[in-house]
Amino acid sequence: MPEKVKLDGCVNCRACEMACSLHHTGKFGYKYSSISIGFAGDGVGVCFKEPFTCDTCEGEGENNFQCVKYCYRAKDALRIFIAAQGRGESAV
Amino acid sequence: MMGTILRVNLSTGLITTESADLYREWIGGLGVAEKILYDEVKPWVTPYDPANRLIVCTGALSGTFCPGTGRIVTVTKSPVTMGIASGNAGGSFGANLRYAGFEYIVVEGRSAKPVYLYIKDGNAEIKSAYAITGYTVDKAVDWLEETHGTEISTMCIGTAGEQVVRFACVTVDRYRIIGKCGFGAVMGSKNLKAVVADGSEGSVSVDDVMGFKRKVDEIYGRFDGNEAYKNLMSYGTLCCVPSKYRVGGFSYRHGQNLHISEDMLDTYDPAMICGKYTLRQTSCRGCLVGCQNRHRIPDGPYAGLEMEGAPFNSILNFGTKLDIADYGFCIQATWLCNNLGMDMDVIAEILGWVMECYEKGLITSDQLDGLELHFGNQEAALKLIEKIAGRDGVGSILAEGVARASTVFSSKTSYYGIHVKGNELFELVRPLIGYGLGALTSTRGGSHVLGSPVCEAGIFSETEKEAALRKFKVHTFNDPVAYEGKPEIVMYYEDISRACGCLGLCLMVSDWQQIQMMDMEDFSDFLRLAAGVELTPEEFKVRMQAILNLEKMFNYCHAGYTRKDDRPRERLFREPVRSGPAKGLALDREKWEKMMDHYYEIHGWDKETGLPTAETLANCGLAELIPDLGRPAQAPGRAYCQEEPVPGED
Repeated sequence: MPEKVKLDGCVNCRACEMACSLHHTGKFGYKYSSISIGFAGDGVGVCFKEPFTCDTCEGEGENNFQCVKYCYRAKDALRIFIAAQGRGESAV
Repeated sequence: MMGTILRVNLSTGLITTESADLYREWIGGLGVAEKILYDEVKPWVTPYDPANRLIVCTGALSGTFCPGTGRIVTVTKSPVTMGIASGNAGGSFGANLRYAGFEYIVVEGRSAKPVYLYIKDGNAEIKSAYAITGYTVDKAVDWLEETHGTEISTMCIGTAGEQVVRFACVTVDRYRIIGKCGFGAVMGSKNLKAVVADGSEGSVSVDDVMGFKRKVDEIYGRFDGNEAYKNLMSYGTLCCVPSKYRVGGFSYRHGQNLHISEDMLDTYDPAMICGKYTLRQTSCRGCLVGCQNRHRIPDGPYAGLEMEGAPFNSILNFGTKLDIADYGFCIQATWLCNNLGMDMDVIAEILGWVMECYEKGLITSDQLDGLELHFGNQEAALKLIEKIAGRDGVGSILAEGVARASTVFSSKTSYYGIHVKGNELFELVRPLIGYGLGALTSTRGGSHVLGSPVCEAGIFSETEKEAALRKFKVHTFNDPVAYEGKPEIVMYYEDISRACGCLGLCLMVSDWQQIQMMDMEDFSDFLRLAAGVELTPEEFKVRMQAILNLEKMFNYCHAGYTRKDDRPRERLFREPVRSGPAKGLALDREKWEKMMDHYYEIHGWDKETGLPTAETLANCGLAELIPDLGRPAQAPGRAYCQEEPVPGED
């Protein structure tokens, strides 16, 4: 598992993982989430799992990343992380 | 679609599964678990008998991203009250258990050797717990994570549970607590050190995904611009400090006053505490609220300690109640209780009672193994907590709780204990009549999460007042010292809290926390969207009253509880508050009894006995329990609940 990028304001609720799993499979879980949340230094952060499966929520509408939609506390930070992936740039 | 029950018999080692469809009338979660307990645990079974069940349950929303779903509910026959008890904790256990393939766990029997239960991928194993026997929760969970990975959820007892301290608690995911009523003691009596659920491979689904998402979106929207949540999300429940101060809601020196100095208030200012101690807010699984603080103590005698989950209670329990003005101490004492595995509300009442009796010369330091337990003595308090957890010396007597311990010390000490149904009472009654009523009538013996309102001390906007009036149909929701209208408000929240328990939801996202948040209509919607079950809000309420009536009958048949077991302690009638906003307040006997008459009346219960009438039982579908009205507990053994001698009158 890659190192996690800290998300300002993240409370470790992991609703984003559930939203991601729901997007891929129609069910709530952790296994099919493309992202993983966990400790990052003194805070909480996110990384993409390997193998890489994020499709930037294809089919959910323009710029409608489901993880970002259901994030309440670290929405902006998470959006930056996912959007950077969409442009093929480094998320760090 | 009721889910699967995992049945574990620790005496025989047999593990089986069965469908929960048989219990569909009971909605889910708490309802199903309490029905199972009523049916399977007979009045002659004592809480430490192998035949007692420990039931762990989830609801239809557990494992989804509906706000407030990160809860796990447990049910057992309580060694504290001898009646039915439910417990509720945050964390990730509910999600992990459902992802691992089960909605319920029913544990019975007693293992000959220390064991833990490991659940993953639709399978369960009983594993040896020799490696973690004698471990505190931290160390035990460290070992479990090293062994099974960090994606697990744990329900673990500490050394106190192993010692079967009567009110030992269960610690969930290191920091969340199944508090009160002795769930940890029941696990300890079964030689069950932990339950581990690994949900990393599984998932749950809901009946109507699109409808569910739309409903969740709507609920998310209710948090926007919601003043009540701004402070809760920033400070956790520490945000209660100002409103508690305003109404005289702080127990000072074990209730000898309900007012604290401005200096002490400043020590416990939420913004100051967060600035100094808080690393970040944290959440239970799937919930956006983030009301749990993660603290690190930067200086002082407890520097370096890092922990989550010290709530408002920590300030009242270890700060004002013991006359200590040091939030670092509050965190340290909370952590010690969580880690040894004892309910901190109970520990604080024991400490407060001991300190008051010590102050009055009724308990001496000889009786306390040399400890000088005057108010404010941090070191002695921490030492006593350790002794209780280890059942060491006087700790072994105090490990039975105040009600029982006071029968061992001089009879004069029993007047000072504050408890109900054998269970320590955290809740103040004199300044907050509804809050107190809910706690005293609560079937698990105290606790403010099964009917007590918290809105009496709140601030209502005009819109919120209209909503409150519409829901409660009484005017006194914002008048803490009024007696009228309080039974109606308590009954309202008896339904709300049990609905949360059936769905796997936290009270913090219901209209208990803020009047426009989730209520029975929302719960009805979610039950349909998640589980495909059609139940109108009115029908839902009837089922919740059925659960309450089931609890009352269990308590009558197992512990003999009637109206007299709902009574406040004498001192709450005899001791007016000394100063502050609640100055002069004592309970008014006539008003209290009249309020109780009305409380029993609106529930369809007999005013003399406090028990459900046959008609009420029939009306909520419990006609088969009518014969139990003639089967009171034969040997309740509750000498500790008898009338206490009043000083000067004994």
